Amino acid sequence: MATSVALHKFYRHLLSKSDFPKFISAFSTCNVSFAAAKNAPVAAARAKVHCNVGTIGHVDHGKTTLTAAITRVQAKTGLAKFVAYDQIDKAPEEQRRGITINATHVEYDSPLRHYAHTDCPGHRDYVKNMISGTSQMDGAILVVAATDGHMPQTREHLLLAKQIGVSHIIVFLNKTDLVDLETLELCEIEMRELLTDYGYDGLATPVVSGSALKALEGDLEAEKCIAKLMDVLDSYLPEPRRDTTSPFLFPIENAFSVAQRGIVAIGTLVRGRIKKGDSAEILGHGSELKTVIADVQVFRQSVPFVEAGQNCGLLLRNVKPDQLDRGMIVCPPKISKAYNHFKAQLYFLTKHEGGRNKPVRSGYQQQMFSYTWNMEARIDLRPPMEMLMPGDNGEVYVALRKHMVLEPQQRFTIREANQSTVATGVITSLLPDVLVEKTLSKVSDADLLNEVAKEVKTKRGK
Amino acid sequence: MRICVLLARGTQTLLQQRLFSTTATQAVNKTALATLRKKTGYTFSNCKKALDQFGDDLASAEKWLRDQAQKEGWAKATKLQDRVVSQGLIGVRYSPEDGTAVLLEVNCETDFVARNAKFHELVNTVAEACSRELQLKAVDGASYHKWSITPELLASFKSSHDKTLGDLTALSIGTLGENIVLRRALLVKINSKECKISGYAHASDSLPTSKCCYLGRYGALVIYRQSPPSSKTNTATEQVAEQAGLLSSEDIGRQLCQHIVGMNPESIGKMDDDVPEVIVPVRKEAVVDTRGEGENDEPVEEVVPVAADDESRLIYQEFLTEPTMTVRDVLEQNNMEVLDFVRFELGGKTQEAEATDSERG
Ligand SMILES: Nc1nc2c(ncn2[C@@H]2O[C@H](COP(=O)(O)OP(=O)(O)OP(=O)(O)O)[C@@H](O)[C@H]2O)c(=O)[nH]1
Ligand SMILES: [Mg+2]
Repeated sequence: MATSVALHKFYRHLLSKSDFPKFISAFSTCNVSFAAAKNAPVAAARAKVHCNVGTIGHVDHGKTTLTAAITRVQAKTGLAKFVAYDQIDKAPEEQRRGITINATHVEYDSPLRHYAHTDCPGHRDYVKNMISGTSQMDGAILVVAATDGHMPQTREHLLLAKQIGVSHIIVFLNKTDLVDLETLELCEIEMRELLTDYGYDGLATPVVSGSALKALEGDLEAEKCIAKLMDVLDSYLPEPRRDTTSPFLFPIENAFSVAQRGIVAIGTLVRGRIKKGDSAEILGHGSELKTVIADVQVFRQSVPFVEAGQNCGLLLRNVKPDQLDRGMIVCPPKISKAYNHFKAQLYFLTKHEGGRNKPVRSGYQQQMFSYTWNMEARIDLRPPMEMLMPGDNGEVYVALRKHMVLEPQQRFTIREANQSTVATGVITSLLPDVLVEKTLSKVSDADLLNEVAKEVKTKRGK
Repeated sequence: MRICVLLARGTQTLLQQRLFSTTATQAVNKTALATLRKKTGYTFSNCKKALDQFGDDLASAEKWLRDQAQKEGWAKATKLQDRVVSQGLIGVRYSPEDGTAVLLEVNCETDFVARNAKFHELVNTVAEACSRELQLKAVDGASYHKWSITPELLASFKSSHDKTLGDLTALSIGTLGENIVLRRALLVKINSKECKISGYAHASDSLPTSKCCYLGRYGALVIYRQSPPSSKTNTATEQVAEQAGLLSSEDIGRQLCQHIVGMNPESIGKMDDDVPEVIVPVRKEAVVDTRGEGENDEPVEEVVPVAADDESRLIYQEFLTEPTMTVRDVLEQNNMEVLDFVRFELGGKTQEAEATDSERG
């Protein structure tokens, strides 16, 4: 990540000078640094499939103890670095602050996978993480103390898991050193019932029981529950989708002409794989172009294909220099589409996080940033919401001045004139176009409200 | 339903397996334990304690549990009292008819609990109890009275079921398992002949708001006076009044509260004494094109009246609902005058310094 951001800035800096030979040299320099990063040992260790998990559950039921216990047990076989109990809640102040900094500060491996583990204290923390995409959870470990059973607010934990899109839950019945088998069984049955009530597969959900405290203290018998939990994580959580197989998506960072050859677009392939000879579309900023990938270059060398994560240049056929713009997307024909209207979940940063100190109401206009593009956007709150305060999150309608390639789950930020990020969002659904004449202020409220009314109707219809 | 049967079957097989290692009486106890827990919702360990004392006498066990709950709640409250409570809810309850209003804050440890219906119920009950207290209070000739209630006093108020709010909080601590604190409350009674009161609570999550109590992370009350429209209106103000005329004074009252929540003013500001809005040169900010193509590079130097960005006097702030006007404009158009306002923010500073019994008239 850090590398690509740096690259980004570097390109921009050079491009502002926009002088051709320099640009070419920048191209090669950047690729060298990219290659160096790729060969670093850290990257090699990450070859394992990566999953994001997290603990949720009632206060004092043992989330933090369990997290510490996992790292302690996995550390015995070199699969983790032990993180002591009192180190887990102690995220450095800077880490707690900025929304962009990942809340995850515990990681461990199983023999098969690498896990990043989030132990957030509250509902809002999880929702914030979900919206900013800092750690989309592939699965959640719901920790329940068998001495208590589930508590009245456990429903809030399950609703939350649903809301942030956690499809798989694993139950850890904790504090088994304090209860008898009968209670433990009842507790398990009760949890399965509860999961079923909240739309999870209560019967298939794995339930692991044990004593996190004993495991943390080094009791050999108790450590078995951690091994069991790791097994269940490996087997029950589906493998995150591999990015190289989905249709390619290549946001253009910049483009320039190469004498006698044509136009080269530079950028980082977000997902999929691009081969020489692939036909493609270039969408965004209101235009739609057809092209063929005449050549793919890495380090100024032709290569047969590139895969997700690689920085490369694409030689594009049938395109004129003035037709391309930063932020356009190169994608396979008839796969992606450009839109100018969508629904999103938006989180407004607090003043403390560098955000606004005043609320936002419908009709708020600022620049929206996603991938390599930015575009004027108008934000309307979903009625009956009248305002969003810094620190609030809510459902909003966004209209763009020009059509851009958008898809559900795409992350974006909103920045104000001074370039500071004031909100982060995630697209939840795409909507039919709105008519944008010249400016977004003219987008009629009626148009937007129509959309709301339609949606309410279809919901009622169901 | 089908799932229930499946689950029941699951239970049965589990029970059958267990029968080999446990005696029959224990199995009965287990059913009793399951029943008791389901019925009361108290923790497994407590249900077990009850059964240990009363055997299979479920009725007595249940009674014991409920009696115990309050004692335990208090014990637990004592045990948990050092834990940090930074989450919770602000409650707003007001009645224009009775001329009463309540603004209060109840804290808990996590926002999971703040989202729970049982917690909402507690906040509602507290608000209701405060309203009842207000009925006994008199305005005594003033336009209105404000009472700042200490946590201790608040805990001694009685709910409609004749339990003190302190007892109810202890019970909630028992069931919700988190430390809960009645942090502060502000009670207002107005002389309805002289002024009006309005309230608003802000929440971004859709919280269930009963008719009588609004819940959120922020809340505000505003006390205002509205005089009958003056006769000397010119055409310009008439036009605006026509537009504004779509709003009732209640609507404006609510919008003022929303403004107070959003813009966080520190004082009202005086209509006459203070210098009105400053005239400052501003750079008219066109939407900034960060691609730097230079279309909007020339800033337009213009002189327009604006409220300073950090203006902390209510009437000189730009009105949240209609940023082209100041609050003062809106008040003047509607012949309104703000007498007082209060704003609560979750976890905000309590106004300890403020007099417990302040009065203005
Ligand atoms: N006997 C016993 N105690 C446990 C076990 N696991 C955790 N505890 C104790 O339960 C208490 C709470 O554990 P934590 O891990 O802090 O719980 P938590 O869920 O992280 O709590 P919060 O972060 O406050 O929500 C601590 O005193 C632990 O020592 C267990 O398996 N057996
Ligand atoms: Mg913890």
